[in-house]
Amino acid sequence: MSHHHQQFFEKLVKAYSTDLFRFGFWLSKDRNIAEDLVQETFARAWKSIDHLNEEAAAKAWLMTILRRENARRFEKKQPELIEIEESIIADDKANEPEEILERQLLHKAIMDLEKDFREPLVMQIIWGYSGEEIAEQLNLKVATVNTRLFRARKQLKKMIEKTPSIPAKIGSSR
Amino acid sequence: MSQQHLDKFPLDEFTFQQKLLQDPANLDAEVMQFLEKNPEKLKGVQQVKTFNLKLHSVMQVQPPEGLADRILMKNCFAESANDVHWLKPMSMVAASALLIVVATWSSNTSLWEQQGGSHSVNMDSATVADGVLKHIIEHVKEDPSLMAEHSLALNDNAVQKIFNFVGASLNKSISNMSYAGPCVINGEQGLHVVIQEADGPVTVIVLPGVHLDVMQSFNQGGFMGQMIPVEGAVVAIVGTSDIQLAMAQMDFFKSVSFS
Repeated sequence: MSHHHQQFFEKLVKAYSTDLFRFGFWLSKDRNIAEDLVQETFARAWKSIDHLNEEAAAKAWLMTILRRENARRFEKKQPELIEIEESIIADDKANEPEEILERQLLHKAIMDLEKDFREPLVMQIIWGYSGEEIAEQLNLKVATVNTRLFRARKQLKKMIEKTPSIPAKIGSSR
Repeated sequence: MSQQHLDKFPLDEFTFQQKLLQDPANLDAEVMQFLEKNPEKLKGVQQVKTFNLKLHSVMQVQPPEGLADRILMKNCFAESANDVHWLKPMSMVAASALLIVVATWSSNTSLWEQQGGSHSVNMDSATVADGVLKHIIEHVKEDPSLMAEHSLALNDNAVQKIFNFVGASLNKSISNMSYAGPCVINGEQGLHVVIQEADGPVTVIVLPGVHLDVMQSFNQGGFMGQMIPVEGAVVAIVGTSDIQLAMAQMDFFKSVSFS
Protein backbone atom coordinates (compact mmCIF):
# COMPACT_ATOMS: atom_id res chain seq x y z
CA MET A 1 0.00 0.00 0.00
CA SER A 2 1.28 3.47 -0.81
CA HIS A 3 1.98 6.14 1.75
CA HIS A 4 -0.90 8.12 0.24
CA HIS A 5 -3.28 5.24 0.93
CA GLN A 6 -2.03 4.95 4.50
CA GLN A 7 -2.54 8.65 5.04
CA PHE A 8 -6.04 8.54 3.60
CA PHE A 9 -6.93 5.51 5.70
CA GLU A 10 -5.59 7.20 8.82
CA LYS A 11 -7.67 10.26 8.00
CA LEU A 12 -10.80 8.12 7.67
CA VAL A 13 -10.11 6.31 10.93
CA LYS A 14 -9.57 9.56 12.80
CA ALA A 15 -12.60 11.24 11.25
CA TYR A 16 -15.15 8.45 11.49
CA SER A 17 -14.19 5.77 14.00
CA THR A 18 -15.91 7.53 16.89
CA ASP A 19 -19.17 8.18 15.06
CA LEU A 20 -19.11 4.69 13.57
CA PHE A 21 -18.65 3.29 17.05
CA ARG A 22 -21.64 5.32 18.23
CA PHE A 23 -23.71 4.16 15.29
CA GLY A 24 -22.65 0.58 15.92
CA PHE A 25 -23.46 0.93 19.59
CA TRP A 26 -26.98 2.18 19.00
CA LEU A 27 -27.57 -0.55 16.44
CA SER A 28 -26.18 -3.39 18.51
CA LYS A 29 -26.79 -2.00 22.02
CA ASP A 30 -23.44 -3.43 23.07
CA ARG A 31 -20.07 -1.72 23.31
CA ASN A 32 -18.04 -4.84 22.52
CA ILE A 33 -20.11 -5.66 19.48
CA ALA A 34 -19.90 -2.01 18.41
CA GLU A 35 -16.11 -2.13 18.54
CA ASP A 36 -16.07 -5.38 16.57
CA LEU A 37 -18.32 -3.80 13.97
CA VAL A 38 -16.05 -0.78 13.64
CA GLN A 39 -12.92 -2.94 13.44
CA GLU A 40 -14.47 -5.15 10.78
CA THR A 41 -15.71 -2.12 8.85
CA PHE A 42 -12.26 -0.55 8.75
CA ALA A 43 -10.61 -3.87 7.93
CA ARG A 44 -12.81 -4.01 4.85
CA ALA A 45 -12.11 -0.37 4.10
CA TRP A 46 -8.38 -1.03 4.25
CA LYS A 47 -8.70 -3.91 1.79
CA SER A 48 -10.64 -1.67 -0.59
CA ILE A 49 -8.68 1.51 0.03
CA ASP A 50 -7.63 1.63 -3.65
CA HIS A 51 -11.25 2.27 -4.60
CA LEU A 52 -12.04 4.79 -1.88
CA ASN A 53 -10.87 8.06 -3.29
CA GLU A 54 -13.29 10.64 -1.98
CA GLU A 55 -13.95 11.21 1.66
CA ALA A 56 -17.66 11.90 1.19
CA ALA A 57 -18.16 8.65 -0.70
CA ALA A 58 -16.01 6.82 1.82
CA LYS A 59 -18.18 8.08 4.68
CA ALA A 60 -21.34 6.63 3.12
CA TRP A 61 -19.46 3.47 2.21
CA LEU A 62 -18.25 2.97 5.79
CA MET A 63 -21.77 3.32 7.12
CA THR A 64 -23.09 0.83 4.57
CA ILE A 65 -20.41 -1.69 5.55
CA LEU A 66 -21.13 -1.29 9.23
CA ARG A 67 -24.84 -1.81 8.65
CA ARG A 68 -24.11 -4.95 6.60
CA GLU A 69 -21.77 -6.30 9.23
CA ASN A 70 -24.44 -5.70 11.84
CA ALA A 71 -27.01 -7.47 9.67
CA ARG A 72 -24.64 -10.43 9.30
CA ARG A 73 -24.73 -10.91 13.06
CA PHE A 74 -28.42 -11.62 12.80
CA GLU A 75 -27.79 -14.21 10.12
CA LYS A 76 -25.53 -16.06 12.53
CA LYS A 77 -27.60 -15.80 15.69
CA GLN A 78 -30.05 -13.54 17.36
CA PRO A 79 -28.17 -11.52 19.95
CA GLU A 80 -29.43 -11.26 23.45
CA LEU A 81 -30.91 -8.00 24.51
CA ILE A 82 -28.54 -6.29 26.83
CA GLU A 83 -29.45 -3.97 29.63
CA ILE A 84 -27.93 -0.52 29.75
CA GLU A 85 -24.43 -0.68 31.09
CA GLU A 86 -23.95 1.59 34.05
CA SER A 87 -20.52 2.53 32.78
CA ILE A 88 -22.00 4.10 29.68
CA ILE A 89 -23.75 6.75 31.64
CA ALA A 90 -21.61 6.74 34.75
CA ASP A 91 -19.17 9.30 33.40
CA ASP A 92 -22.01 11.63 32.67
CA LYS A 93 -20.98 15.26 32.67
CA ALA A 94 -24.30 16.31 34.13
CA ASN A 95 -23.94 16.77 37.85
CA GLU A 96 -27.52 17.36 38.90
CA PRO A 97 -29.18 14.08 39.90
CA GLU A 98 -32.33 15.03 38.02
CA GLU A 99 -30.32 15.69 34.89
CA ILE A 100 -28.49 12.39 35.22
CA LEU A 101 -31.80 10.59 35.69
CA GLU A 102 -33.20 12.30 32.62
CA ARG A 103 -30.21 11.23 30.53
CA GLN A 104 -30.48 7.67 31.82
CA LEU A 105 -34.14 7.58 30.92
CA LEU A 106 -33.46 8.99 27.49
CA HIS A 107 -30.69 6.44 27.00
CA LYS A 108 -33.06 3.61 27.86
CA ALA A 109 -35.85 5.10 25.77
CA ILE A 110 -33.61 5.21 22.69
CA MET A 111 -32.54 1.63 23.39
CA ASP A 112 -36.18 0.58 23.62
CA LEU A 113 -37.13 2.12 20.29
CA GLU A 114 -37.76 -0.36 17.52
CA LYS A 115 -34.73 -0.69 15.25
CA ASP A 116 -36.69 0.70 12.29
CA PHE A 117 -37.19 3.93 14.19
CA ARG A 118 -33.90 4.01 16.07
CA GLU A 119 -31.67 3.58 13.04
CA PRO A 120 -32.83 6.62 11.00
CA LEU A 121 -32.93 8.73 14.14
CA VAL A 122 -29.30 7.89 14.98
CA MET A 123 -28.27 8.54 11.38
CA GLN A 124 -29.93 11.93 11.49
CA ILE A 125 -28.70 12.98 14.92
CA ILE A 126 -25.16 11.58 14.96
CA TRP A 127 -24.29 11.74 11.27
CA GLY A 128 -26.38 14.79 10.39
CA TYR A 129 -27.97 12.98 7.47
CA SER A 130 -30.97 14.49 5.73
CA GLY A 131 -34.17 12.52 5.10
CA GLU A 132 -33.05 11.99 1.49
CA GLU A 133 -29.62 10.67 2.52
CA ILE A 134 -31.14 8.31 5.07
CA ALA A 135 -33.64 7.09 2.48
CA GLU A 136 -30.78 6.35 0.10
CA GLN A 137 -28.77 4.51 2.75
CA LEU A 138 -31.70 2.44 3.97
CA ASN A 139 -33.18 1.97 0.52
CA LEU A 140 -36.49 3.46 1.59
CA LYS A 141 -38.76 6.21 0.31
CA VAL A 142 -38.17 9.64 1.79
CA ALA A 143 -41.77 9.72 3.03
CA THR A 144 -41.20 6.46 4.91
CA VAL A 145 -38.05 7.84 6.53
CA ASN A 146 -39.85 11.03 7.55
CA THR A 147 -42.69 9.03 9.07
CA ARG A 148 -40.21 6.92 11.02
CA LEU A 149 -38.38 9.98 12.30
CA PHE A 150 -41.66 11.54 13.39
CA ARG A 151 -42.80 8.37 15.10
CA ALA A 152 -39.43 7.86 16.74
CA ARG A 153 -39.58 11.24 18.46
CA LYS A 154 -43.26 10.75 19.30
CA GLN A 155 -42.48 7.43 20.95
CA LEU A 156 -39.54 8.86 22.86
CA LYS A 157 -41.80 11.61 24.11
CA LYS A 158 -44.39 9.04 25.24
CA MET A 159 -41.78 6.90 26.99
CA ILE A 160 -40.35 9.87 28.85
CA GLU A 161 -43.80 11.16 29.78
CA LYS A 162 -44.52 7.86 31.52
CA THR A 163 -41.97 8.91 34.11
CA PRO A 164 -43.77 11.44 36.32
CA SER A 165 -40.68 13.29 37.53
CA ILE A 166 -39.37 13.99 34.03
CA PRO A 167 -42.01 15.64 31.89
CA ALA A 168 -41.03 15.52 28.23
CA LYS A 169 -41.37 19.05 27.10
CA ILE A 170 -41.89 18.29 23.47
CA GLY A 171 -44.80 18.54 21.10
CA SER A 172 -46.66 20.79 23.51
CA SER A 173 -47.00 23.67 21.16
CA ARG A 174 -50.72 23.43 20.87
CA MET B 1 -40.78 26.07 -2.75
CA SER B 2 -42.10 29.36 -4.11
CA GLN B 3 -43.70 32.06 -1.99
CA GLN B 4 -46.77 31.76 -4.18
CA HIS B 5 -47.09 28.09 -3.34
CA LEU B 6 -46.57 28.78 0.36
CA ASP B 7 -49.29 31.41 0.31
CA LYS B 8 -51.67 29.19 -1.61
CA PHE B 9 -51.13 26.05 0.48
CA PRO B 10 -50.27 27.08 4.02
CA LEU B 11 -49.23 24.39 6.44
CA ASP B 12 -51.92 22.92 8.69
CA GLU B 13 -51.35 22.18 12.36
CA PHE B 14 -50.88 18.44 11.89
CA THR B 15 -48.33 18.80 9.10
CA PHE B 16 -46.51 21.42 11.14
CA GLN B 17 -46.21 18.99 14.06
CA GLN B 18 -45.07 16.24 11.73
CA LYS B 19 -42.38 18.37 10.12
CA LEU B 20 -41.22 19.67 13.45
CA LEU B 21 -40.68 16.19 14.85
CA GLN B 22 -39.16 14.85 11.65
CA ASP B 23 -36.18 17.19 11.75
CA PRO B 24 -36.28 19.93 14.38
CA ALA B 25 -32.75 21.03 13.55
CA ASN B 26 -33.66 21.91 9.95
CA LEU B 27 -36.99 23.65 9.70
CA ASP B 28 -38.02 24.44 6.14
CA ALA B 29 -39.70 27.50 4.63
CA GLU B 30 -43.21 26.10 5.16
CA VAL B 31 -42.62 25.63 8.87
CA MET B 32 -41.01 29.05 9.18
CA GLN B 33 -43.99 30.68 7.46
CA PHE B 34 -46.37 28.79 9.75
CA LEU B 35 -44.43 30.08 12.75
CA GLU B 36 -44.59 33.64 11.49
CA LYS B 37 -48.35 33.34 11.40
CA ASN B 38 -48.52 31.43 14.68
CA PRO B 39 -45.87 32.94 16.96
CA GLU B 40 -47.43 31.26 20.01
CA LYS B 41 -45.96 28.00 18.68
CA LEU B 42 -42.39 29.25 19.00
CA LYS B 43 -42.06 28.17 22.61
CA GLY B 44 -43.05 24.62 21.70
CA VAL B 45 -40.57 24.62 18.83
CA GLN B 46 -37.83 25.66 21.22
CA GLN B 47 -38.76 22.81 23.56
CA VAL B 48 -38.54 20.30 20.73
CA LYS B 49 -35.17 21.69 19.72
CA THR B 50 -33.92 21.46 23.29
CA PHE B 51 -35.12 17.88 23.49
CA ASN B 52 -33.29 17.14 20.26
CA LEU B 53 -30.08 18.54 21.70
CA LYS B 54 -30.51 16.26 24.69
CA LEU B 55 -30.97 13.30 22.37
CA HIS B 56 -27.80 14.31 20.56
CA SER B 57 -25.94 14.57 23.83
CA VAL B 58 -27.14 11.18 25.09
CA MET B 59 -26.21 9.53 21.80
CA GLN B 60 -22.59 10.69 22.09
CA VAL B 61 -21.42 7.55 23.88
CA GLN B 62 -17.70 7.52 24.42
CA PRO B 63 -15.77 5.04 22.30
CA PRO B 64 -13.29 2.74 24.03
CA GLU B 65 -9.92 4.30 24.78
CA GLY B 66 -7.46 3.96 21.90
CA LEU B 67 -9.99 2.65 19.38
CA ALA B 68 -8.51 4.58 16.42
CA ASP B 69 -4.98 3.46 17.31
CA ARG B 70 -6.06 -0.17 17.51
CA ILE B 71 -7.75 0.06 14.11
CA LEU B 72 -4.61 1.56 12.58
CA MET B 73 -2.41 -1.04 14.22
CA LYS B 74 -4.57 -3.93 13.04
CA ASN B 75 -4.70 -2.72 9.49
CA CYS B 76 -2.12 -0.46 7.89
CA PHE B 77 0.65 -1.02 10.44
CA ALA B 78 0.19 -4.78 10.27
CA GLU B 79 0.24 -4.52 6.49
CA SER B 80 3.51 -2.59 6.64
CA ALA B 81 5.00 -5.36 8.70
CA ASN B 82 4.00 -7.90 6.10
CA ASP B 83 5.57 -5.75 3.42
CA VAL B 84 9.07 -6.32 4.80
CA HIS B 85 10.80 -8.86 2.66
CA TRP B 86 12.95 -10.66 5.12
CA LEU B 87 15.57 -12.69 3.27
CA LYS B 88 14.03 -11.97 -0.11
CA PRO B 89 16.07 -12.72 -3.22
CA MET B 90 18.12 -9.68 -4.10
CA SER B 91 19.34 -8.13 -7.30
CA MET B 92 22.96 -8.52 -8.31
CA VAL B 93 23.84 -5.06 -7.06
CA ALA B 94 22.22 -5.65 -3.74
CA ALA B 95 23.90 -9.04 -3.55
CA SER B 96 27.29 -7.41 -3.96
CA ALA B 97 26.46 -4.97 -1.20
CA LEU B 98 25.42 -7.90 0.93
CA LEU B 99 28.79 -9.54 0.50
CA ILE B 100 30.50 -6.42 1.78
CA VAL B 101 28.11 -6.14 4.72
CA VAL B 102 28.51 -9.78 5.63
CA ALA B 103 32.28 -9.52 5.31
CA THR B 104 32.32 -6.52 7.62
CA TRP B 105 29.89 -8.23 9.88
CA SER B 106 31.95 -11.40 10.03
CA SER B 107 35.07 -9.51 11.05
CA ASN B 108 33.12 -7.61 13.63
CA THR B 109 31.39 -10.68 14.98
CA SER B 110 34.71 -12.48 15.22
CA LEU B 111 35.99 -9.59 17.24
CA TRP B 112 32.87 -9.67 19.32
CA GLU B 113 33.24 -13.37 19.92
CA GLN B 114 36.62 -12.58 21.42
CA GLN B 115 35.37 -9.66 23.42
CA GLY B 116 32.00 -11.09 24.39
CA GLY B 117 31.12 -11.60 27.98
CA SER B 118 29.54 -9.69 30.75
CA HIS B 119 31.14 -6.40 31.66
CA SER B 120 29.87 -3.29 33.28
CA VAL B 121 29.96 0.12 31.63
CA ASN B 122 29.77 3.29 33.60
CA MET B 123 27.52 5.61 31.58
CA ASP B 124 24.73 7.86 32.79
CA SER B 125 21.51 8.32 30.86
CA ALA B 126 22.47 11.72 29.41
CA THR B 127 25.71 10.27 28.10
CA VAL B 128 23.85 7.33 26.59
CA ALA B 129 21.34 9.65 24.91
CA ASP B 130 24.05 11.95 23.54
CA GLY B 131 26.14 9.05 22.35
CA VAL B 132 23.21 7.34 20.67
CA LEU B 133 22.14 10.50 18.83
CA LYS B 134 25.71 11.32 17.81
CA HIS B 135 26.16 7.82 16.47
CA ILE B 136 22.91 7.90 14.50
CA ILE B 137 23.73 11.25 12.91
CA GLU B 138 27.30 10.24 12.03
CA HIS B 139 26.20 6.87 10.72
CA VAL B 140 23.52 8.44 8.50
CA LYS B 141 26.07 10.97 7.20
CA GLU B 142 28.45 8.15 6.35
CA ASP B 143 25.79 5.98 4.76
CA PRO B 144 22.69 7.97 3.71
CA SER B 145 20.91 4.77 2.68
CA LEU B 146 21.04 3.52 6.26
CA MET B 147 17.55 4.69 7.09
CA ALA B 148 16.05 3.83 3.70
CA GLU B 149 13.52 1.08 3.32
CA HIS B 150 15.16 -1.87 1.61
CA SER B 151 15.35 -5.60 1.94
CA LEU B 152 17.58 -6.96 4.62
CA ALA B 153 19.25 -10.16 3.66
CA LEU B 154 21.70 -11.41 6.22
CA ASN B 155 22.84 -14.75 7.33
CA ASP B 156 20.77 -15.87 10.29
CA ASN B 157 23.83 -17.08 12.16
CA ALA B 158 25.59 -13.72 11.77
CA VAL B 159 22.52 -11.87 13.01
CA GLN B 160 22.11 -14.27 15.88
CA LYS B 161 25.78 -13.85 16.86
CA ILE B 162 25.51 -10.11 17.04
CA PHE B 163 22.34 -10.28 19.10
CA ASN B 164 23.97 -12.85 21.36
CA PHE B 165 26.92 -10.56 21.88
CA VAL B 166 24.70 -7.87 23.35
CA GLY B 167 23.10 -10.50 25.57
CA ALA B 168 19.98 -10.83 23.47
CA SER B 169 18.25 -13.72 21.75
CA LEU B 170 16.62 -13.14 18.41
CA ASN B 171 13.69 -15.52 18.62
CA LYS B 172 12.28 -14.62 15.21
CA SER B 173 12.95 -11.98 12.58
CA ILE B 174 12.01 -8.48 13.65
CA SER B 175 9.04 -7.13 11.72
CA ASN B 176 10.06 -4.25 9.45
CA MET B 177 13.79 -4.48 10.26
CA SER B 178 15.77 -2.99 7.38
CA TYR B 179 19.25 -2.82 8.92
CA ALA B 180 21.18 -4.53 11.66
CA GLY B 181 24.83 -4.00 12.35
CA PRO B 182 27.45 -3.41 14.99
CA CYS B 183 28.11 0.07 16.30
CA VAL B 184 30.33 1.88 18.75
CA ILE B 185 28.76 4.31 21.17
CA ASN B 186 31.04 6.24 23.51
CA GLY B 187 33.74 3.66 22.86
CA GLU B 188 31.50 0.71 23.71
CA GLN B 189 30.32 -1.83 21.16
CA GLY B 190 26.64 -2.21 20.66
CA LEU B 191 24.02 -3.26 18.19
CA HIS B 192 22.40 -0.88 15.72
CA VAL B 193 19.04 -1.84 14.21
CA VAL B 194 16.76 0.17 11.91
CA ILE B 195 13.06 -0.66 11.87
CA GLN B 196 10.78 0.83 9.22
CA GLU B 197 7.57 2.01 10.87
CA ALA B 198 4.56 3.61 9.22
CA ASP B 199 5.77 7.17 9.69
CA GLY B 200 9.41 6.49 8.91
CA PRO B 201 12.48 4.66 10.17
CA VAL B 202 13.23 4.14 13.83
CA THR B 203 16.66 3.34 15.23
CA VAL B 204 17.19 0.83 18.01
CA ILE B 205 20.56 0.68 19.73
CA VAL B 206 21.40 -2.00 22.25
CA LEU B 207 24.26 -1.19 24.60
CA PRO B 208 25.37 -4.16 26.69
CA GLY B 209 26.72 -3.58 30.15
CA VAL B 210 25.04 -0.19 30.57
CA HIS B 211 22.80 0.02 33.59
CA LEU B 212 19.78 2.27 34.08
CA ASP B 213 17.41 1.95 37.03
CA VAL B 214 14.30 3.04 35.21
CA MET B 215 13.13 3.70 31.70
CA GLN B 216 13.96 7.22 30.56
CA SER B 217 12.94 9.32 27.63
CA PHE B 218 14.61 12.18 25.86
CA ASN B 219 13.71 14.71 23.23
CA GLN B 220 16.46 16.62 21.50
CA GLY B 221 17.43 17.84 18.07
CA GLY B 222 14.10 16.82 16.59
CA PHE B 223 14.48 13.24 17.83
CA MET B 224 12.43 11.53 20.49
CA GLY B 225 13.89 8.63 22.33
CA GLN B 226 13.37 6.05 25.03
CA MET B 227 16.02 4.21 26.97
CA ILE B 228 14.72 0.96 28.32
CA PRO B 229 16.72 -1.01 30.87
CA VAL B 230 16.76 -4.72 30.13
CA GLU B 231 18.72 -7.59 31.65
CA GLY B 232 22.40 -6.65 31.24
CA ALA B 233 21.86 -3.83 28.74
CA VAL B 234 19.99 -0.72 27.74
CA VAL B 235 17.82 -0.57 24.64
CA ALA B 236 17.60 2.95 23.17
CA ILE B 237 14.81 3.55 20.68
CA VAL B 238 14.99 6.76 18.66
CA GLY B 239 12.42 8.17 16.24
CA THR B 240 10.40 11.27 15.62
CA SER B 241 7.01 10.49 17.18
CA ASP B 242 5.48 8.63 20.09
CA ILE B 243 3.58 6.26 17.86
CA GLN B 244 6.77 5.37 15.99
CA LEU B 245 8.51 4.59 19.25
CA ALA B 246 5.60 2.50 20.47
CA MET B 247 5.39 0.50 17.26
CA ALA B 248 9.15 -0.06 17.12
CA GLN B 249 9.21 -1.09 20.76
CA MET B 250 6.47 -3.60 20.07
CA ASP B 251 8.18 -4.96 16.94
CA PHE B 252 11.54 -5.24 18.67
CA PHE B 253 10.47 -6.86 21.92
CA LYS B 254 8.15 -9.28 20.15
CA SER B 255 11.23 -10.84 18.56
CA VAL B 256 14.08 -10.16 20.98
CA SER B 257 14.51 -11.30 24.54
CA PHE B 258 17.24 -10.62 27.10
CA SER B 259 18.36 -13.01 29.75
